[in-house]
Amino acid sequence: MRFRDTIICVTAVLLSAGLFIIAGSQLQSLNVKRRELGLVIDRPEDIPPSLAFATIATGAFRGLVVDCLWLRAERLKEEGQFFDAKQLADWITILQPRFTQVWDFQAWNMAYNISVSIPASEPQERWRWVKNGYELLRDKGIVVNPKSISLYRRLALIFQHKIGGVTDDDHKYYKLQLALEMEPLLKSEDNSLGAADNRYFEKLAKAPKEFKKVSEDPNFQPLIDELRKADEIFADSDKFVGNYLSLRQNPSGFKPQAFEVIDRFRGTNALKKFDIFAKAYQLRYVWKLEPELMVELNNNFGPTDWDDPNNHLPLEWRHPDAHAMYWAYKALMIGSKGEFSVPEANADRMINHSLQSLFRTGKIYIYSQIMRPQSDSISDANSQVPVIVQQIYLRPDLRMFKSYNKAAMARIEKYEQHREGTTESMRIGHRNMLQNAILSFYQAGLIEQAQEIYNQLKELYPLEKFNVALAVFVRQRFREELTELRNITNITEIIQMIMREAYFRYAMRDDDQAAISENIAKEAYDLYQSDYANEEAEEKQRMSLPDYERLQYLALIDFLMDEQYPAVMRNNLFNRIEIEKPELFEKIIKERDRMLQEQQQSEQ
Amino acid sequence: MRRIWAIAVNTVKQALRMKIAVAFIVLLFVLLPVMGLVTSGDGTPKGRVQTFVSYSMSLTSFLLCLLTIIVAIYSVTTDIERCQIYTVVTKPVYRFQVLIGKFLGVVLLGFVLLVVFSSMIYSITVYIPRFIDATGEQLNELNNEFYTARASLKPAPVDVSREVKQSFNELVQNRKISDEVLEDDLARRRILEELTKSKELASRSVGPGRQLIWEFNNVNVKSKDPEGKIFVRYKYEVSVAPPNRRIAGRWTVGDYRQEKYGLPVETPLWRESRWDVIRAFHELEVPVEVVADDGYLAVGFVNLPQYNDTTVIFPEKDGIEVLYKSDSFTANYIRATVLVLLRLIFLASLGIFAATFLSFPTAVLFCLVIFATGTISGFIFESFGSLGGGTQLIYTFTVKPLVRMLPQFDKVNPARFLVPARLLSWTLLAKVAVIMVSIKAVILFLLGILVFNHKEIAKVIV
Repeated sequence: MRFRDTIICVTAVLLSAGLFIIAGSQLQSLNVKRRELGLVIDRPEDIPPSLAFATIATGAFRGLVVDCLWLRAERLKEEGQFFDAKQLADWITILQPRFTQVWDFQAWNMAYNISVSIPASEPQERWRWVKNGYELLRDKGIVVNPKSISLYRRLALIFQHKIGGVTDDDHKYYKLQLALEMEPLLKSEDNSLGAADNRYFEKLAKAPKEFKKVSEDPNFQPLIDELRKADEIFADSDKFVGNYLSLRQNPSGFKPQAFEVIDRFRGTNALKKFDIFAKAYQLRYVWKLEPELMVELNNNFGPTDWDDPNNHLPLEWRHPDAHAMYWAYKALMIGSKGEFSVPEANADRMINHSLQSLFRTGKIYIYSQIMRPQSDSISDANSQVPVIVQQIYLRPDLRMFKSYNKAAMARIEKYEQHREGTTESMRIGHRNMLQNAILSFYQAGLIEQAQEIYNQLKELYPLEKFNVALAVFVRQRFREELTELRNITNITEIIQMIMREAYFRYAMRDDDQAAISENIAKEAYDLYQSDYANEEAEEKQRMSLPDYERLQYLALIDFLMDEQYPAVMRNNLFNRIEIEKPELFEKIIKERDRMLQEQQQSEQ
Repeated sequence: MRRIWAIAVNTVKQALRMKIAVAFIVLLFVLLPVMGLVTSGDGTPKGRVQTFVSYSMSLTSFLLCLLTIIVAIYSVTTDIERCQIYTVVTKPVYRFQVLIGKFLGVVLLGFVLLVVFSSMIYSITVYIPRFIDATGEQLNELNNEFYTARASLKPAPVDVSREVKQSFNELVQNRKISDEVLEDDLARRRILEELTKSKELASRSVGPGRQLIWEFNNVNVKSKDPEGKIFVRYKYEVSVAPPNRRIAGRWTVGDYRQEKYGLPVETPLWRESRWDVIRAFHELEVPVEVVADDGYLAVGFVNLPQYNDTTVIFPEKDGIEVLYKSDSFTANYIRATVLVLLRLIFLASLGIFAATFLSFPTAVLFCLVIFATGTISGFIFESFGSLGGGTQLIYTFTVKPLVRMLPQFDKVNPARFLVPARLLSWTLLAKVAVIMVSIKAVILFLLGILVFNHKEIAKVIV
């Protein structure tokens, strides 16, 4: 080799060695940066096998394959074909698991776009797509991207807006399904502890986490062994807990001997504790809700116990906003950096909205009735099988106010140092909420609490209109709400609507709330009538409302004819009024007779 | 014929000795059943079956196409490169007979494999519902919307030339168009084009409170049994999107002539009012009794003014169509398989042609590029359509005609018919056979024969 070539080779070798050394020296700082940006899976053994296989198998073509899948997904979407949407979403997310926008988009696409393209007359189909959306995030997206705030937010938003909101035609169906799925997990097997008891959630938090540990515990072994002997379906340890819970809810899917085992162990500590473990396990591994965090949320944001105002009761975990709050709270736990960040502010806002929503609609009533389907065919055996039809109703939960108020104040304080616009809108929202809350508490007869809130309102927002006594403020506020719709028809409708609400509460055996609604209706009636007390006789007659008893009667007829409420509920209400409120029943009958008489006279 | 047959048989044997052929065959034998078990689609039986058919047909077609290309090229180039062809061309057999024999062998292999794998796919498709315990309702849905072949009827394009002429004359009379414009042909044409577009759009638009009626003839529903259904598939566009993105409409389907002309009612009119999301496809399921005996059917839509304050527009291409059962799933499936066979025939022809003048790797690359271009031709046309200015012009006169000459495999993809249960008619099949096989494949094959006849066999190819 010539001397010149030798020099070139040596120079090249030295240069490449030098470059390697420089590149190698950057590696440590690069790794630190990777960790800071959350680009490293902490435990490589947690990488799903599908991801590992996809990464190796596709190699450099991964990007191309993903593009093809996206194109296919887009084309099928334009053609209105969704049979492959979930599968494609799965594959795209397998190939691009760390690209969080992929998960976000796919979940949103399923929960929003695909679900609404299905007719509202198929709510179960729609619900399936909404579930596909949030399960994709909860069970896969967040597992692979545990530090991505945007995914937690999207998950919370699906619960808060899609399920908890009212924009979707089938929102009630979604709420009902969520409530029905959560309900069995929110009470102990002997019903001694329930969803309204903090001790239940504490027991869930303390329950063992692994089935392996439980199966080796001599206290539980007899129960587990007997179940395994009774039905071979319990042989699979991975599905044991799920099968146990299914057995407790629907024994018909199992051998009779399995339920006999449950009967034998009924009342024993083994069964009680195992049941708690099973429910905690289901919450932890299926719903991805950690009982410890649920306890923390209950303690921080749960409704106030009227008997002990310093104590918080558990949140209503059947409500979608409780779930929204859980995931938004998790986003905060991960994303909170001490300095202002938009994702963190958004997560805080979501918690605030959820608390407001729980205040406005946090009480859940599920009404079940047995219906026998109609059929012309005598020989059709299925027509004889009755079905249980359930409906869900949501009503305000005033106990949530304190938690909302505390969280709102904390949020305002937290963001006070940052942009003024942010806290200004928060303050206006808080002020409006306080005013609404004062009215609600006052009308509910909780004058002391109303006064407390009013004092706070005056202190925080010293406006001229708040320089009056509480009773005056409430009256003014009520009048404002009524006079915004300055029209007799509307006032009559409002009063009748409030009366119908009273009848509904009475039908649901919530007599306290029924009485509150009746009082509100009477107050509205008196307030309106008093406005025209000094008018000229002709004007007074024109603007005056019908007799109160007449309105009560009409409201009752409206309720009895209102098909949004089950027929059985309406019939039961009528019977209840007849038996338990004879004076009201008598008034209603008198009013009915009077109306009939008037009608006959007018026809003559 | 015996000579050709002998070469064909030899070609098949040669192909089966190829490791790649064995690999593809084993892969399909393993993958197809696994796909039947693993694919879940959207979780419903219908989604599952659709996903399986879509992916299994695509995979089978793709692998068989690749195999055909490779075997066709290999069978010719190997013989030439390894000088085995000397033992053939020195026999009393014409060169074109050699090529025909090779071609026949490749097609025969493809045909046999296609029959085997398509039978497998068919069996799995038919038996999937039994494995997953589908409910009665789900089976019904499958029978109506998948295990069938639905013919599609679209409304005839509306002829607006008279209205356009009338509008143009009005504009001229009212002096809305200047004389200079009238004298300028290009300007006149543009005005007429704009008027035509706007009239056509108006013919597909329904303002609040208004109605649009489409009439179809030749709705040849084979059996009017009480269980029979027809489907009206539609999609809304709107002038202004409503806040909730939904439109309320009242649909009437049936023999409108009864109402229009006051005829005695012999067939029922079906009506439904419903809310639907815009820019998404919806289907109305209507009993088959509404179709008149002479095959007449009218579909009417009313834009309900009490709920909507925007104009509803039905897109020209896929705004509305009537779907009705026209044939069985099995017959449709067989035709879809024939479609794949036509593809294989074309590719065999292409492979043989390429092998006559290119070496093995070059020929494979050449054929794969043509195959890939043919597969994504739709995407190519769409993406180049978004280019502007000079690039568009260059494309229009160079790439576009070349791509148009190739077979457009994506347009005649069997899965596009089987998955949404659309009828793949004999007419379409014949059209594809004529264009893809009779014309393009034959031209390529003849070119191949021409080249091979004049090829210096002993010459070394680098």
